[in-house]
Amino acid sequence: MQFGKQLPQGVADLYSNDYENKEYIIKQINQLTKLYGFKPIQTPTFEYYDLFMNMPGTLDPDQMIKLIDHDGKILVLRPDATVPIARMVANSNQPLEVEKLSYVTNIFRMQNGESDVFSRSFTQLGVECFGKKNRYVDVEMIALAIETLKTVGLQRYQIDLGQAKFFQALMDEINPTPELQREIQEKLEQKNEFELEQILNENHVNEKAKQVLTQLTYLFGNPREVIKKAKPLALNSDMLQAINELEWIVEQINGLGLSEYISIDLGLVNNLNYYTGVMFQGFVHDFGRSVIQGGRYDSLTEQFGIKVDAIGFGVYLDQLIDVLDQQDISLKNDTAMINVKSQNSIYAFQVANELRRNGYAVNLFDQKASILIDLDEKLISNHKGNRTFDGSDDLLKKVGQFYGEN
Amino acid sequence: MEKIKIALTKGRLAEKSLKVFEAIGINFSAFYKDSRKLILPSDCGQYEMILVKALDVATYVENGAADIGIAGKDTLLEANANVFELVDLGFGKCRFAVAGSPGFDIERAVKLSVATKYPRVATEYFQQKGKQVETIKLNGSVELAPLVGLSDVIVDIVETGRTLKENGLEVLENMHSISARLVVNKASYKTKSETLQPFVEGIKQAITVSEG
Repeated sequence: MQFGKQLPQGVADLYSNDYENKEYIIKQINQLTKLYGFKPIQTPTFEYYDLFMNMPGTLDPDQMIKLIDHDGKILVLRPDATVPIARMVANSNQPLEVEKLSYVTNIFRMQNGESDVFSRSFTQLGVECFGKKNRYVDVEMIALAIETLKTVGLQRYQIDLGQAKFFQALMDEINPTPELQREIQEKLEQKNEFELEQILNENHVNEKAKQVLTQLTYLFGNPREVIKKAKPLALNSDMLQAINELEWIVEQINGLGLSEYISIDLGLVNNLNYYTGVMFQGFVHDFGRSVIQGGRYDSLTEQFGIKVDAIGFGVYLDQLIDVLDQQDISLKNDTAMINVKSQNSIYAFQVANELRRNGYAVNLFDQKASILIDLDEKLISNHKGNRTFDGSDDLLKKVGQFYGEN
Repeated sequence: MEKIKIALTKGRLAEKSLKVFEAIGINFSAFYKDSRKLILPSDCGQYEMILVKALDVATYVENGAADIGIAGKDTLLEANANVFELVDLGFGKCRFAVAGSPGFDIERAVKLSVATKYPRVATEYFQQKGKQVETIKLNGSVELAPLVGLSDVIVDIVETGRTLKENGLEVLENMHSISARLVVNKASYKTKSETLQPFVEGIKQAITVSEG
């Protein structure tokens, strides 16, 4: 018989182990962010389209999944995690010094053509820190990103740092039309040196700026080397300041003994209408997509009428699970299951509850449980053999021993 | 040392690409054996060639299924993939063009219908010109469409223009020029930079030598 109930394209069930794995990773990262002082929050699953439509940001309005409200207004399923949080912070009346927020949330978007391998619904976990710009916060966020990937058991990974201000200050030198700037960014983002040069020539961009721009396609890799090469390229004080800021961050990260995890790419120029300072992406060795994306975005809340500086990053949880699967990093804290059997069902229930109070997992209906307790025969058994027990204290003791063997 | 995967398309592009690889000392002798294998190891064992359809090169590279790819700019434009496009290899040169029956006036058509293998490229081109078009996606022999009344014009790659001429069509507008490009997965270029950067530099030099 053919199965009639298909799921829509781009969504998936997470069954038993898969969901357990996901929950486990979320728990590990949440524990970590909590230790850094982040408080979990939640925003609604759908909001007005207007909120996102004019937002400088990462999402194409065409890719948002839209609904029509009963009054004709357009709603969208949460297409981005940060914008609603910025809205929330801006709306809250409390005066805020520093607000450290964390979230685990589903993001929804349309697929971009038939070859798009991404889901239409994926989970993002992230942290946002609102409050007056502070360079120590930048360092802490980068360190936290490194720590996050370490926590889940990864070893070879790197956080690639960029600096939005460097490019923005460079653009001040040539005052491009929005169209030209978009083209420059696109080519730079692709490290497409020859086409970048073509565009710069066609638009008669001044020689100095042109040289720096083409150089930018090479300015990535080892932080110290890149900074050394970038400094002489600064054409104005803002560019120099941007580089100095980045250098300071790199030095701090080095001081923390985390230098092996960072690299720099000054050609990282996507989403520049969103980020205003340091930006970063997390890559894992032998995995073709980024698993972390973040940066400083000091002007986003201006869209909501107040100015609060902010920095944050998001972890693409589904990608992270893919990597961990691929690298065979075991996720599960596999809990042994206990089955309790007796003709007297009330007695079996009571013993099961007693065991649960002591922290053991009991499934009364699992015939394949790894530990079996037969109350009538006073026998406890696992795959290795069985032993008798005498009274509930002795049972607890022996369960503990059997548990250790699993 | 981990393997580097290179996505290529069988045909002229692959043969020319192999010449460039050979110039930097990477040989795929398995390629020249008549075989239907889709994954071929290099002689040194450090590289692996995977053979895919032209339009899919960008997809494989974007998602990290291949670290490196070589594809025509035409397919890269159509796939619009998020990859590093590092080298213009200089071969596989041709251009995108709008073609139709001689004397056809694009400007006068109220709603232009365009048959093409590259609907994204065609739509973007006409959108920039502020022209409303209807694209019809075809998978080959695009020249036929205007002849049998399926569309007003076609958007296709043109090398010499001979196919067009023999079918009674002519180039109405040139769009952009095209050549083969070397693309690299963004994550790979960062995490495997010790292998990939020298590779890319080597290719760049080999290209300049063969051109100069």
